[in-house]
Amino acid sequence: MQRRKRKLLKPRRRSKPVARPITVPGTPKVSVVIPAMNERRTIASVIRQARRVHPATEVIVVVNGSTDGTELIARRSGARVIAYEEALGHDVGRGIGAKQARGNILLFLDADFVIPARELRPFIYAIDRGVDVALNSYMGITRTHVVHPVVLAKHALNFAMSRPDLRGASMTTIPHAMSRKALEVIGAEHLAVPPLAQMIAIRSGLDVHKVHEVGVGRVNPRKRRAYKVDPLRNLIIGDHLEAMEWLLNETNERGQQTDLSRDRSFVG
Amino acid sequence: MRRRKAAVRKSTRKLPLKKRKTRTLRRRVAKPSPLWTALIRRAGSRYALDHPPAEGQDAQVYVNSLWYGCYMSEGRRIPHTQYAACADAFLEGYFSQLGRAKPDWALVPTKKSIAAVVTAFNEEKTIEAVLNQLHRMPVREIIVVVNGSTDSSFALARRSARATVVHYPNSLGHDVGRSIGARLSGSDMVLFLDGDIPIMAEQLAPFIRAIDHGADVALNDMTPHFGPFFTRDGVTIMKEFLNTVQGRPDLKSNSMTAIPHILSRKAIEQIGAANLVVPPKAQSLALELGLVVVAAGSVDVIKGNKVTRFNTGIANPVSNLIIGDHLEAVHTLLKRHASRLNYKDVMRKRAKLQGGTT
Repeated sequence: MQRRKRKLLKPRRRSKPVARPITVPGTPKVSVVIPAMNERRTIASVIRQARRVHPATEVIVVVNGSTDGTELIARRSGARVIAYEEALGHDVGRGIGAKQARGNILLFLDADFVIPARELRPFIYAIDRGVDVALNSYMGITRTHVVHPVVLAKHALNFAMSRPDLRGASMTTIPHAMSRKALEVIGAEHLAVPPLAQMIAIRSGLDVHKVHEVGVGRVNPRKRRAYKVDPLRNLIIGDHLEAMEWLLNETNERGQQTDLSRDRSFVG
Repeated sequence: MRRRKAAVRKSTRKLPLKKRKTRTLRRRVAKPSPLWTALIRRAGSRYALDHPPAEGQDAQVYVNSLWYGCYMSEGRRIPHTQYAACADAFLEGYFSQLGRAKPDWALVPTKKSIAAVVTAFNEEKTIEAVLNQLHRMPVREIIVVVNGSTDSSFALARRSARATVVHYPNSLGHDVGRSIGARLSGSDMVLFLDGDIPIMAEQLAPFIRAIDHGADVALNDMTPHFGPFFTRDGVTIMKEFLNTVQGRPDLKSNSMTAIPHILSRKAIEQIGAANLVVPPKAQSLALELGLVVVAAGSVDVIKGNKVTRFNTGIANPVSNLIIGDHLEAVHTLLKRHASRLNYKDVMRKRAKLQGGTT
């Protein structure tokens, strides 16, 4: 009883507030884009880790539809904040943040996963070495016979693009990074639909690789368990269909895959 | 030391995943129960007394119709695993009563007429075995589409007394023969086979039963023959994706790309024989049209498949062809419906992203 009381009296350890926003001399090299919606529990830690990925880093937090003070915490943590009152929807914040980014390397994170900076640096290094889009190698649980439909869709997209080496790596998964060149080729407005952005990147001949595995499935499992049916499932499957439609419109109805010696005139 | 360890790890990762032994789930084959076989054998002898074979009638078809009557009345509860043994017992009872030797037939659980379409492209080693298995069944039509064969496939197919052989000197390409065969056939159900994989007639019974019970498309259930997801290839994954987006995740990666499968006459008419050239597209249309698609039986056709330089390796031409087929199916679906099918994007405020660059 005594112990419990003392514990209650003990002030909770909070992250150190940063009084002034970090000013990066000249243009920053790395821009970290973090869309956030009601993430006050984690946003400060996410920003703290993000700032450590490179000495010249700017952190852009796109706060949307937040009512819990996420914006204030983000500002105090030294991030550039772009705030919207209404919720923008999944991944739209990424495009908005990317438009505002000044760095040559863009790193995309989510505000609900705290990923240590050492796990983020491989993505920055890869872009520095000349990769255009650096993806997380994590592809969900695939050692089973039945997989989640989102995992299935991610695999299908890469196979449709003849990139079997990517397996289930996807721009839907964070963290991932891209060069400024990649951003210009893809177009910031397409970042709202990550599979579409990935499709455009591969189709445009950009260097897309999976570079490092961060197990984002395990980082924050508690939140996932709250829903019985993943509410984003249908959205993400739709995103993949949208990406495939883009490919089919760009190429032909077979996505430029071979028909081998098939002679269709016999069955007209 | 550390570096060496890393090098070793890298080399093991480069091993092709296919070569690794994976655990496959195989169904146990149940032993035929002596009770069932004895009962059916007695029924066979009774049928022989009541319905002796008439002159000038196809005995195989006649006995099969008797067997179907027996199966539907007394044999309704025969477990599927014991079907083959019971059909055999019926034949034994029937012909021992007549005092004749039991012919090597495989009776099928239907009265509907069956057509078999076999496509052959240089399959002289296996075509005879495929046709022999078909001869064991009361199949009304056997259509062999020989195309681009430079070996004796055509001559061997012609030897069969019952087969109608269609010969194209040039190669037709993948699955075109199926479409041609389907168009030539006129039976109630059409069984599609390849000339390179002989399948025991007994293994086809579940497919025929499914169609007889009202299904329109009876697919081969390949699920037991696949390893866990991460070992699967692009073709398998595309098949599963297509089934899933059409709201049939229960079909897994079962597809009309794989043989054997059976289509009902209704299915062929509604899908259109021309669309059978691209099997995934035909399957998508079948689901679209509300036809009953089931994974009926399970035949391992992976082991028997002929290995060529075209169908091996991670990105081989045949796998690219089939992936293209699936994209064509997705294209057809998107054309018939709005983009994104039923997976609408209602959350995103995309307008916020328009205008104003970087």
